[in-house]
Amino acid sequence: MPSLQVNNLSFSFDKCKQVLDTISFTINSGEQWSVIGKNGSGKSTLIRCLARLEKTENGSIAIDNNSLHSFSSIEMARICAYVPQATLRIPPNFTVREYVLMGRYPYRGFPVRSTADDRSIVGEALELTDITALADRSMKNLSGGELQRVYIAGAVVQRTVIMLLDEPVSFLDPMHSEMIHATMDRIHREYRTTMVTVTHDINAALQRNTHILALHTGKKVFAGTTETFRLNATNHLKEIYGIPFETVTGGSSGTRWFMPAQKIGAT
Amino acid sequence: MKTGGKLLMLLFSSMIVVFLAPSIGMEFIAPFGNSGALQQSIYHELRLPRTLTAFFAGAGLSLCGMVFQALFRNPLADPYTLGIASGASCGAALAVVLGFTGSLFGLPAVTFGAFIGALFATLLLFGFATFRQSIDKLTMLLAGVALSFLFSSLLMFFQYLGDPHDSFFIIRWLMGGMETIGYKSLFLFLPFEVISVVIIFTQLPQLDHLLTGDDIARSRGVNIRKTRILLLLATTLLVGAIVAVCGPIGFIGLIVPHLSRVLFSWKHVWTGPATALMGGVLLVIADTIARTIIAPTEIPVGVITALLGAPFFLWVLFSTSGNGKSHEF
Repeated sequence: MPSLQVNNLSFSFDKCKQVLDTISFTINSGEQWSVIGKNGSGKSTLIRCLARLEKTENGSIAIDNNSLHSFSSIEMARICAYVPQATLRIPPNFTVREYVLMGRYPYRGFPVRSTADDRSIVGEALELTDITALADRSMKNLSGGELQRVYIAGAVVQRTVIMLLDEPVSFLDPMHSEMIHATMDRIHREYRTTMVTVTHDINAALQRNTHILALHTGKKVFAGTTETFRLNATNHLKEIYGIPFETVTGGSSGTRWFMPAQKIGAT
Repeated sequence: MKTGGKLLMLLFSSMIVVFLAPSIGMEFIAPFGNSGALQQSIYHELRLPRTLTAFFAGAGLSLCGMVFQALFRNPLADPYTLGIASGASCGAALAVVLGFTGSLFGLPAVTFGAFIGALFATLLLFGFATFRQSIDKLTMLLAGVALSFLFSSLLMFFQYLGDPHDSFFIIRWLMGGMETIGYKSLFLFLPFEVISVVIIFTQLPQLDHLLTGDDIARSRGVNIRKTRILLLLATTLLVGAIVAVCGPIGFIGLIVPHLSRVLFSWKHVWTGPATALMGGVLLVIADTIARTIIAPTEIPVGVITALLGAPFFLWVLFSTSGNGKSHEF
């Protein structure tokens, strides 16, 4: 059972501002976690630490009791994939298929030609993320929602047990957010990938994911199942975001929705 | 495969150009005809080594340009615009002025000086690029301009100190050219070129990953640090060795990678060999023009490449400020 253990993790940039403060939690195989918190609460930094993109000095991160530092670059890329936020990046001038194929790097030597195996894995990932029709388009000519799915497909072909996603739906319209969520669900159904997603969409997080990790100014304020979170959701949300939340029950599914209870500045 | 076929065609045409170029000159000499012994000697001992030197210098400088462009994600980067060629020139000039005629580790002092200069400039630039977390295209180029100014003023200082003979030698050499070259100078930089090209070619897939951004590349298992260091080493060796022999020939490293991306592929496994071949051919053509256009007088080849390159530079500069252009990174 591959699990991700984080123990007393602290992180600061240039030893001045504490971004993460002694955080501990354990993620088990196949769970879907959402990391929520205010802007600047350390969510992205945490996920970058998990992806080993930041150098951590205090505390430990381990996968199956093996420290993250003990893996080689290639080993790490076979265990853990990272999906950046598409809308903040300048896409390279590769076709979608070329880019997704590059995700096979940890399994290939010097790739002049792709193997049949690589091609079928890429084809499967394009299908799964619903971008087969875009395969030969340049990434320069894609919309934000399409690009985000391309970045996800690039991570899928790494065939990792863990996938880390940094705000995959921020800046996307409701339709494209929904498509990204559906894509992530399909990936989870297909491969039982452990997913850790940074998000501001608390309702999607509570409805679709199994666990919530909440951060406030670099400190953990909640880590547990969404059910537990729901028991006291409005209090948790107030603690996390600093404003009161209210519940609205309704919609066709009868689910509980959470939204800010008042307009800031309104009297 | 389509790109593979194009590359094969390029290989054939490069070989034809390299063997035909020495025929052209004051007098046309067929490569293997039954022309006189003098003509044969002109072809094989004067024009052929010069053509080969031009080919390998062009190939090397273009590859360096390609590597810098990917490494800094900057379409305007090349050894010349980043000031690295100026660094090499400065080091070489210092060696000339100080009168170092001996050799160090079997290398002429001028070559050694060029290595040191190139290394110094590269380290300054890399230091600057890593000190600032993200660095935009124009800042990088301005840093290159500043480096160039620094090294040109040092060069002027060295010329001023040197005797008139040295000064003239430096001035002519700075214009770039291949005219005083026999096989000896070719063999002076070819070993370094072979080493550097082998290193660069092993890192071609990693260059693709660098274009996608450092974090994605690292999350896919690319050892960015190792790649950077290897490429830094290879390009420094290559620029130093070529500049020591041929002078700083500008703009070839800027134009050719763009051409090969447009004509061949953005994947470096293809861009690499295409860039090397096209760079070689282009410099051979430029050199042939330089020595024939107002024959018997030769003009420095650097003049030709700058005449081609400067407008190209401006075109890239102005068209990348917009969005969605095909050569934008």
